[in-house]
Amino acid sequence: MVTFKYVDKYINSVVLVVQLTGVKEVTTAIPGAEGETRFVFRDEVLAQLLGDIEPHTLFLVLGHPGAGKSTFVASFLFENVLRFGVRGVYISLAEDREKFYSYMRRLGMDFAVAEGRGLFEYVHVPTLSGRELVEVVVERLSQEVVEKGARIAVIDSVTPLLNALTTEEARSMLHATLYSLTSASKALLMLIADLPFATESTDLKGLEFIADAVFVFKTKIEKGIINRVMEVRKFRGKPIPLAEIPFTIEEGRSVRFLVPPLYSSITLSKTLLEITHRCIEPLWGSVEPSTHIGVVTKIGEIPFSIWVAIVRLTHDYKLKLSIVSFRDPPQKLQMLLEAAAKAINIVPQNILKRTLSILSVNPAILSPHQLMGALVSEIERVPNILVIDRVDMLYLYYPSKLVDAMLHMISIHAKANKVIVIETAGNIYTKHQTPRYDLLHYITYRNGVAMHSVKRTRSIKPIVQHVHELGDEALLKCFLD
Amino acid sequence: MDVYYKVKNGEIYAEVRGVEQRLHLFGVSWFGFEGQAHVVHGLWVRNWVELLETIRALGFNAIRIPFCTEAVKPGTAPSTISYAFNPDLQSLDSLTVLEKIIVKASELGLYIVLNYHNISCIAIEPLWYIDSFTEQDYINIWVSVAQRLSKYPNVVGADLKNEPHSVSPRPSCYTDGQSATWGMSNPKTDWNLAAERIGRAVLEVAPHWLILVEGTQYTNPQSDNVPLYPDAVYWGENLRAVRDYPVNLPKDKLVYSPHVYGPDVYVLPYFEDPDVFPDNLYKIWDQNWGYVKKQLGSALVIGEFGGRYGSGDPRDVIWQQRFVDYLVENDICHFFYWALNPNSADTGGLLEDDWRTPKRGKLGNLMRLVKHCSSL
Repeated sequence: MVTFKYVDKYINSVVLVVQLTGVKEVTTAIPGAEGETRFVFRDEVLAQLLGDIEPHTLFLVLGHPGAGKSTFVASFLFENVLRFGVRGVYISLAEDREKFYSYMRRLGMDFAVAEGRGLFEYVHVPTLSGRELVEVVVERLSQEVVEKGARIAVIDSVTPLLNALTTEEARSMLHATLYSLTSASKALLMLIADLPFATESTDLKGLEFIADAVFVFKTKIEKGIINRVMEVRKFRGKPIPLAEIPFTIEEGRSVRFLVPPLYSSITLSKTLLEITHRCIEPLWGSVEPSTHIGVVTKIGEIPFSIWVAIVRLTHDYKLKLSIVSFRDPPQKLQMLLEAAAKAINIVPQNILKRTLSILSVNPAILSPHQLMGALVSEIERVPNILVIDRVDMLYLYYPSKLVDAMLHMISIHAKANKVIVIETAGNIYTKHQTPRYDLLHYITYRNGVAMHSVKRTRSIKPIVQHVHELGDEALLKCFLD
Repeated sequence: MDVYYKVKNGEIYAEVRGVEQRLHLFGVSWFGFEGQAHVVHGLWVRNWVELLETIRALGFNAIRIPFCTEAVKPGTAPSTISYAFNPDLQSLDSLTVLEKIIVKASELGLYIVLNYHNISCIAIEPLWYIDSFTEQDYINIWVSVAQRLSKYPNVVGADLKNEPHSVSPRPSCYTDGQSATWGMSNPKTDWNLAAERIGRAVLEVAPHWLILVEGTQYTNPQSDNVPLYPDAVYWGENLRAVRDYPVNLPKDKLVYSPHVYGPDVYVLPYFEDPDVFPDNLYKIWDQNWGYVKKQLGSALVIGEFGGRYGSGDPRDVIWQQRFVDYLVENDICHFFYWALNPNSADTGGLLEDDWRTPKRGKLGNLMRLVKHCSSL
């Protein structure tokens, strides 16, 4: 069973830590096995957490304006109609067709494709008054589901319908029409409802009781930055693994939920490629993919020799290198790489060609979620080495526990993708950092000269050699020889 | 098997029921099976059949598919596939997806060359074994791949190992025990000897296949004692030792397959030498691998070449043009361009980032060669 717990709550974002107590993974059923299509979440993380969804489910998606509820629902619809070749309908009471299509296309969902295959219909219902609106929508919905065989139907949103009815009328409409419709036709009905800004709930006139699942999308604006979370308030027949799941919305990808992969998804391959160099061997040994190296100083800069080591390995093994810095602009990092290459007689361009990206992220203007999203998408490009430079800057803007937990999550993502992480932290060293490191490379300065000490925190190798105070000059000299 | 691929007088033929037909391989590499995705890339935005059709429509008749160990073991789950775009790939393992691609390619008239690109699915190893994976393991993987995939007539052959190379500079690379060599009489590092062993094992299962043997980075002190820039070679380019140490495989089965690149992949010193670049590049190519066809009469398939063609190092356009000129002049009519994928970090691809729009400049240059070869 996988359970999650909060370890920190800061600006209402949630940090999650996986507690591993005998992992049981949720498997996605293969459709067709029982002759009944079970729908799936597009986002792999969510699919893994929540599993698949039976048809004849009434899904309520509640949320603040701009919180991402339409995007979430559209991506669910898009994925499932194309994947399973079933028909879907999106009944919109607000956005017109053109806006919807162009916005969704930007997020990587071309609904025209689905429409071209006869799998999708967008219905824009004109603004009508009260009861007339209810009648038109209900009629259209039954027509789509019963006559045209839509298996997934969306109403965006039901709020005007609920407002037009008294509680009693609403109840009867919900029960008699929507609920019976879904169960009789085995369609999945997704109802979107609006939640006013800064509120946690609204009068749904009983809708929440008949819904099989209730997801709430929230935005929280802090420091001028939007944080998005999805709350799973109800999910009939399923354990709710965690209450709030942070997510971001990205171009070309739509919704990305920020939960680290399960430990069990980190596979240890028998065929490991270990990379090393005669000057690096004494410090890091042979570096396996997935290794997380923490290069840490309490006082003073990260020595140049570390960059030389990174350049050496990248060059010799033709590796793909990515750098994310929280302190310096890309140009400065590029200059560092160039200087390191030149120092060991490598044509600088030959290193820059191996660099997938140099990304500078200013933590002052990003929410922790966005920052996580940026790092995760960097990992998804599968560099061989990801340098996370100067994480000490994060401690300036976020509480240290949050930073440590975030970087731990990144570490799990990297391991699942067999990415080596070289993390540098200058002028800071706390006991909360160490859990994520496989190698702790600790730098002290004596009389202005850097001394390198290395500890392996855990190794499956029988011989664990610790290095104590290797002088930086000797290291640099080795590289130059 | 109805078809038998063979080499005669340095050219490639497909023999079907006693009838020989000359074949040109105008190909492109489509990568992904050799990495963490364990499946060709691009399936996150496009349908796999559409991409095969795109390759055909661009004017190619062959695809080189690099793979790694894990990807061809039954049961490996591929990642990065959008099942919305590729619903028929749902629940299939990587090897089955590869098989489907081969079958569909056959329908579309596309030949396939399979390339064991790396062991680890992470980076290219210098040799065909590592501590945790022996030569016998390597052979076993090839045998299982041949057993499963040689039944499809469009699979032309096996590109045994990608870019054998060195871990130290000359001359220590010849004897460090970890760098690939050629003609050093060391069975542990001599790629020419290993290619023979692996190639024979593959031919036992798939006698109708061709065996593609790539060059190394360095070979042996005598063969590398060449007049022009002896140190300046790309991984997989160096065939200097073929003259004295040809690979001992049946002549009608053996194809040499150098990888040749320009300044977008790695800046070698001769690009800064006006006596070489660009007008005398051909001398470098003759010296390192061109003579294998021109003088020895063996078959050559250019296994990889490519570059950004303008958006990277400004010298790449002229480099690619001169390279195609060289292939045209010498009737070298078999090639696999690197790569279809736009996400090739150093070279870019033949398609734009949308995996849809072709890059006309690169393509136009390549089509000069296709046109020339088709007229032969």
